Order: sequence, then structure tokens, then C-alpha cells
Amino acid sequence: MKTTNNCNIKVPDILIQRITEDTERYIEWLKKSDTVIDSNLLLAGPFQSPEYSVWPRPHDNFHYPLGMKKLLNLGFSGIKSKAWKNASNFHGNERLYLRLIHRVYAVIIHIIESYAMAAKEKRLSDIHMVCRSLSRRAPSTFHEACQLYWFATVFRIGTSTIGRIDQHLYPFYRKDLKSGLITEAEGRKLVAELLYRFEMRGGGRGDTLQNITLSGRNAAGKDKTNELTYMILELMLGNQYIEPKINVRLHKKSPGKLLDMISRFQLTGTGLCTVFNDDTIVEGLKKYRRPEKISDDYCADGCSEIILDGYGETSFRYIDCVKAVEHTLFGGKENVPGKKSMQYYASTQDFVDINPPVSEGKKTESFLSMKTFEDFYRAYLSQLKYQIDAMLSAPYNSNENPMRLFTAATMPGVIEKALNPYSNKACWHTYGLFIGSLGTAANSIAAIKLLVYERKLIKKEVLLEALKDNFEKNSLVRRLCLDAPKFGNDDNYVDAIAIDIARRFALWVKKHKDRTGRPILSGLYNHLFHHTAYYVGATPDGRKNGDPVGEHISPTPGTALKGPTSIINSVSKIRTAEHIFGSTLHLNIPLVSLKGTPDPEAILKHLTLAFMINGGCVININILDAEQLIEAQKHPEKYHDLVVRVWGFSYYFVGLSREMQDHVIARSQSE
Amino acid sequence: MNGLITNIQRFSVHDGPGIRTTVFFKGCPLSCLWCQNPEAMSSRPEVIFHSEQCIACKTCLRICPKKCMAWEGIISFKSDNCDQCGICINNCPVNALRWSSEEISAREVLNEVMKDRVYYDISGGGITLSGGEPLQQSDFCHDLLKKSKKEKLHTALDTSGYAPFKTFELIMPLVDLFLFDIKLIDPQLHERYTGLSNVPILDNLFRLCQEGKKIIVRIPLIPGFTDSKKNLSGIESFVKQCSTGIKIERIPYNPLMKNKYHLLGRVNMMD
Repeated sequence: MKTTNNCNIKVPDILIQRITEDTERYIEWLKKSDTVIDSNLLLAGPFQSPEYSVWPRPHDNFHYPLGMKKLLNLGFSGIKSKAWKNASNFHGNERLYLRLIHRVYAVIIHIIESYAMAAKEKRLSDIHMVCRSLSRRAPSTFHEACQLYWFATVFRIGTSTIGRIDQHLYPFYRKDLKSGLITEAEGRKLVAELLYRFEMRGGGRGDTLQNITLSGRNAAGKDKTNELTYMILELMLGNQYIEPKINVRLHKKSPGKLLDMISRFQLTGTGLCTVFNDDTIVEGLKKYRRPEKISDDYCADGCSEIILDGYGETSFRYIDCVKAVEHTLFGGKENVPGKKSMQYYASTQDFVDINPPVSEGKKTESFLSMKTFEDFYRAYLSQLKYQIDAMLSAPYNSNENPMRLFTAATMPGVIEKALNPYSNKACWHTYGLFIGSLGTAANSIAAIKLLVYERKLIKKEVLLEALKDNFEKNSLVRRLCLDAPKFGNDDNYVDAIAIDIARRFALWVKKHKDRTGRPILSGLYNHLFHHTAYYVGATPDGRKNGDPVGEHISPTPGTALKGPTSIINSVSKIRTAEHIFGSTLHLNIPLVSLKGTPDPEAILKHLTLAFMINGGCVININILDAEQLIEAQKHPEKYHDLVVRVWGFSYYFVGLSREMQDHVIARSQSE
Repeated sequence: MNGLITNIQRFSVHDGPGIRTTVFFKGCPLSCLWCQNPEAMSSRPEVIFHSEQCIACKTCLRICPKKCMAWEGIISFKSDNCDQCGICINNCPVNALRWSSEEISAREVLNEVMKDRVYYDISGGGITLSGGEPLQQSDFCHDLLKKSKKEKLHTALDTSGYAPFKTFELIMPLVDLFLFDIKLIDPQLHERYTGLSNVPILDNLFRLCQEGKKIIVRIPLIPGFTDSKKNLSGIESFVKQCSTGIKIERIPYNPLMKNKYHLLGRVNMMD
């Protein structure tokens, strides 16, 4: 197991040098922010940070939520004084590190003081009192807690997941409500403004990582839904925001009222509300040696990968199991030429999601020499395993950019023990490998099994020729391929293949350890599915190059013909409890199939419940109106407000690329 | 014992409470002009042609003894002369030509139905028998209902009401909910547009009501045929006479069925 320098517990020289330089730049940046106070609003601060961009470079690691619980508990001033006090216990780099944290927080407090002064000048006594208090001590009222929440959000460069906001803020809300300091209506106004600010900060940019995670259960299995959970959902239902993105953690004992609200969300069609199954994920995390207390605080990070709220980062890599089918059929080579190839695509990316060993594949024997289906399947598995091993043994350096001290100080053990926030002593990292397009890969393998080996209807060389030719000439072969069994129809012939691939994938991934020595997590997820469609050539399931692949663990668009119950059944056969890093079913239900039913919300609720009872991991129900989407593609000017789920985020349909629009339309027609 | 089934439709949410699976029986005594399931009218299996699956290999064109297939740039199917010999089906390489129904046992039907058990339990759903007219295959219908009840499923029967009352008596204890279709209240109009008188239908409804069964009366709203005020209020007052607690549902006309006539190589009388 390779470890890089900055994984040490102590802060090494090279890191401290970069941190010092970066901190100076960060402080310059902080000082650029104007003091923005609007007398019509309850909270102070700009909607966006100066020189804001969603993916700033060099970025503060965006797959890293702020330790909001700690921040609310200590306040900016508490962190500042603790860092100063503890610095005297250390020497060298550690002392310097803590003093730098102190310096950052001192600047922040100075900024908040100037807010207090500005508010006083404007005779805005509430904002004045709140800011003055925040500059001196930890928040003690709900108003102060909300103000801190916002300051912390805009004082950070870039965005990240927000985490369990209803849990973070509830103690303050409950206390003030009990003591009569605020009324329910006043509390609601504050929450509404906070949500409005997230919407404004996102600025309609789509993938901003501004995810909130609501509800959930604790270690004892007790439900943690509170008044703020409902309040946030009601407010989000009432306005047409696309931010923050809503994720809800459900479990066996989730209240019916919560389930009802979620199905109301689903029925709006925006796909804004993703459901995480605590009973699968919390239990699953235990198997990965995460302590209960910490597992209970998991939340959604960006797409559907999970992160431990306030305990550390998430990072992931990705391989594609349908591309591995292509590699197996073509002796380790790709079946897409030049600029369409995965290798070319990988070379245009400046991140490490796809690296050469995976895009090149393993050199394997010729398909023509594989006499039995078992020969073929064995070759496929060895191809897949090669790619997993290649990906996971490559050096891991997602943390090239040192974490900004503002963020680092909110992590466990950093201000107390001067720990490097990337070290395993300080944090609980979540590192995982995703595998995408499982359904499409299973379909392709099932078609080969049935048509080439069992019924012998298609000769191997004919199939290869048809695939090379993107099925242009041979319509009979394509027709046969299209009629072969497809994942998502509750058909064991093909589902069994998906189950087997997923099971082996979990086993192989688990054998690899992350830099903290814990097993790497696996997830059945594909955040690049709209690219995969183009860099994977024609597949033996009858899919042409450019046609969509199945996202995550969803069926290939257009192939699940028996409706949502069959889709959920097929997906439930895969043990997603072994793939808790994020295994998402995008269940697209055409609006037309619910028309005329007396209670469509109840139907959606029952589908969600069935998915959970079956042990599913993450589900996103999207109600789509294909005709409306096609209209919107033709006349974008009329459909500016049409919001659809993309992957980790919902976005305005008309703002998507043509490829992505086509994908969304294809999946809306599919079931 | 086997039955003739055109389709088993899972995630059925329009035919009774909750999430259900609807089993479509083949064969119907009525021949409504507006039939929404024309493939279920006849009691015999028929050839259907899915042109979207056709790869234009022209095999059927060559081998059909009755010359039902024509080449017009694409293959087209006209069933006027078809005697349902099935030669085309046996020779179609891609399954574009197939039978409109399958002969299967109640056990096989139930195996498919039971795959969605969890959804019935959560949503209060179950199995719905529809068609066609399920009561026309009364023994099979009885067998399927009996087996469904053994599995403790909620059972609904979607019926045209046209069957001997003794058939109703046979299956009555096994049915939790009757979805009872009434199209037209005027007996002459009923005979003109469906081929048969509505007297036995109304009589059956009356007698079922006397038995205290749970019934929902459904009126298909066919523009120009059944949607007149006179017809609707006539049906409603008849139902009220039968029993006061009966719910009446109006079912909107489904233009999607036009394509089904096309599959069967038939002309839709409604066009």
C-alpha cells in the first residue's frame, strides 16, 4: 500500500509550505468581500463569495463538507481561541499550523465585526446584535446559528455538500421556540431565507454540490425527523428552487407524514428529492469498519456517493462494465475510432476518473477462439478485474491541494491535536470505486449467451462485423440482439448476470485498502453515462453507438417494458447492501401512466417503500412527460422553468446539452 | 386447465385499489364498436403484426397461403382473408408476427402475478381479471380466482356483465370487488352498438347488488355514443335503484387503442 507524504499524521514540511502560501492567498480573497447588508433581509452577507465559481481551481477539496456541527458548537471565536491555546502545546510545523488557523479565524471575526458596525450604522439592531455576538462567542440563538451557517458558506471558496441541515440547526430552533424567543413563523422566515440564499448562490449553475440531507435514524434506530425537516420540505415544495438539492434518509420507522411529502415532491417531476435507505446504508457502513456514531451521520455528497458529515472527505474513481464487454470482444481494444474513443476522451480530461490502464483494457485472447459461454464470461471477468486492480493500485492523490484551513479547522482533532486533516487519525475518509452501466453490460452478455452460444443464431464473426459496422447493414442481427432478454424486466436469465458481476465487483474492490488501511467501498454508479453512450461502440444488446446506456443500476433506457415494479424487482436482486457507496435507481415513470388514478402520490409512496423493503440503496423517482420534453427541446424559449433530474443534481432542461436532453427524453419514454 | 390470455399487465393502477396485476382474458360476447382491447374480442388466437419489429426480409410475403401480407415499401398486414394458420408466425425470424394470446395454466398466470406480491401488500392491491370477458372462460376464471384467494390476494373482476347468473354465483365468493361495466342504458342502442341486448347485464347487476357484493360501476365515456347526459343519468338512476351505496366511475376514452386495430390488420369502426 503506497502512502504519500501528506497522509502522515503530523503536518509535513512540504505541506506546511504550501498551506502557508495558500493561506496568504485565502486571506487576500476573504478581505475582498464587501460588507453586504440588505435591510429587507434577516441575515447579513453576500449571496455569493467574491470571484465565485462552482469549481474553483486550485479548489478547496469540494468533496469535503464543513464540520458544521463543530462550527456551531464552538463558533468562529471558539475555534480561534482554541487554536491559539493549543498551539502552545506543539512545536515546529504543528505550532505554525495552529497559528495559521488562528490567523484565518481572526480575519473572519474581524469581517464579522465590520458587519456588526455596518448594521449599527444602518440602525439594523437585530443584525447588529447577531453579528456582534458571533464575533465574540458561539451562537446561542436560532438566528445566530442561521447567520453563522451563511457566513461559513460564503467564507469558503467553492461549494460542497451542506449535510444534515435539519439536524445541525434543530437544537437552536427547539431552544428558542421553547423559551419563547421566536415563534414558529419567525423560525420559518429564517429557514426560508437560508434556502433562498442557497438558491441564489447556486445561480442556476446545475451541479453545485449544494446537497442537503434531511431526517435519518440514529444508532439506536430512533427516527430523527424534526420540525425543521418538514419546514424545509414545505418551503422547497412551495417555491421553484433547484437549490439546495434535497436528499432524504428514510428507514423502517420513518413517519408517514414524511413519506407523503416526499411523494408529493416526486410527483412534481423535478426529481429534486432523492431517497437514501438508512436500513441498508447504516448497516452496510458497519461492515466497512466505520463506528456507529459516525456512520449515523452519513449524508449525500454530490451525486449519490455518501460522505460522513463533519468527519472527512469523499473521493472516488470510476470504471465502466459495459466498456469491459467491448474490450473483451475486441481483444482488449476499443471499437470506436479516434476522437470518439474512450482513450481520446480520457486524454481530454484533467481529472483522474479514467486513466489509461482502464481505457486501454487488457490484451485478451480473440473472441473467435472462445468456444463456450464460460470461456467468454471468464475472459470478461478477467478484463473487469484487470481494470479494477489497475484503477485501485494507481497512486492516489486526490488531495494534491491542501485543504484550506478554514475548512480543516472544523474537522475532528485538527485544532485539538494539530492533526493533518487528511490523516486517518483525524478523519474518516470515504474512498470508493464506482462501476457504471451494469444493466447494459448484463444485457450485452445475455445476448451473447443466448444468441451466440445457446441458440447459435449468430456466428461470432458476424456479430463482431455487425458491432464494428454499428449495425448499419445487418438489421436481422440487430433485431435478434434487441429481442434478447433485458435487465429491468424481472427476468432471471439476464438479472442473474447483473447479480454475478455486482457480487464479484464488491469482492474485488473490498480486497483493496484505502490509504488509511480500511477496505475501499464500492458503488454501482456512473456519473459519466452521457459520455459513455458515445465512447462505447455498438453493444451486443442491440444498442448503437451514441444510444444511451443504463445509468447507475437503472435499466438501459427503452428496454424495461413491464413497468416500475419489474424494474425495482430486477434491481432488488442485486445486493446493493454491498454497494453502499452509492447505488442509485433512477426510476422514470411517464406521467401518462399515472393519469386518471385516484391517488398517484400513494402509488409513488408504495413504490419507494417496496424498494426499501427489498433492501435498495438509493432511489430517485422522476415523473416525466416525454411529449413535454420534446416540445421543450423544440421551443426552449417556452420552457425556461422545466426542471429535470440529471445525475447528482436537478437542472433546467433547456440548459442541458443536446446529448443530455436526448438521454433524458429517451429515459422518459422507456418504461 | 388452461386459459387463453392476451396479456398479463403488471403495475396496473387503474383497475381497482392499489398496485395490481391485470390478467386479460381472450374472448368477449359483446362486440362494442369502440372496443379498447380488440385483440381480446375473438375467442380464437389471431395473428398480430408488430411492424416496428419487422426487418423487411419478406419471408411472410412469400409464404402466406392467403396472401395477407403486402409490400408497400414496408410490409403491411390485412387480416380479411387470414384463417389464422400461423405459417407466417412460425417462419418470421424476428418475432414481428405473433399470436395475440397464449394458452397458459392458472398456476403459470399466478407465478407471474406473485412476483409483485410486496407491492400488493404495501398498497392494498392485488389481481384484476379483465379482458375480454373473464366469465366467458368461466372454469379457468374460477380456477384462477380460487388459487388467488389461496394466496390471500385481493381479487377484482372487470366484467361486461354479460354471462349467465349462475356463472356469477360460481365465482362470487372468490371476488372482493366487481368492476361492472355499463355502456348504454337504452336496450336498443346497446344492441346496435355492442351486438347484444343489455337486459341480462342490468339484471345481473341488480342480482349482484342483492347479494351485497362490493361493486364499482364503470361507464366508458365514448364521445358521441355513451357520453350523452341522458345515457349517463339513466345509468345513474338505474344503479341507484339497485343499491344506494354503489360507486360510479366514468372512464375516459383511450385513443391509444387505435394502434391495436392496426396490429390486428383490422379497420377501426370508430375512424
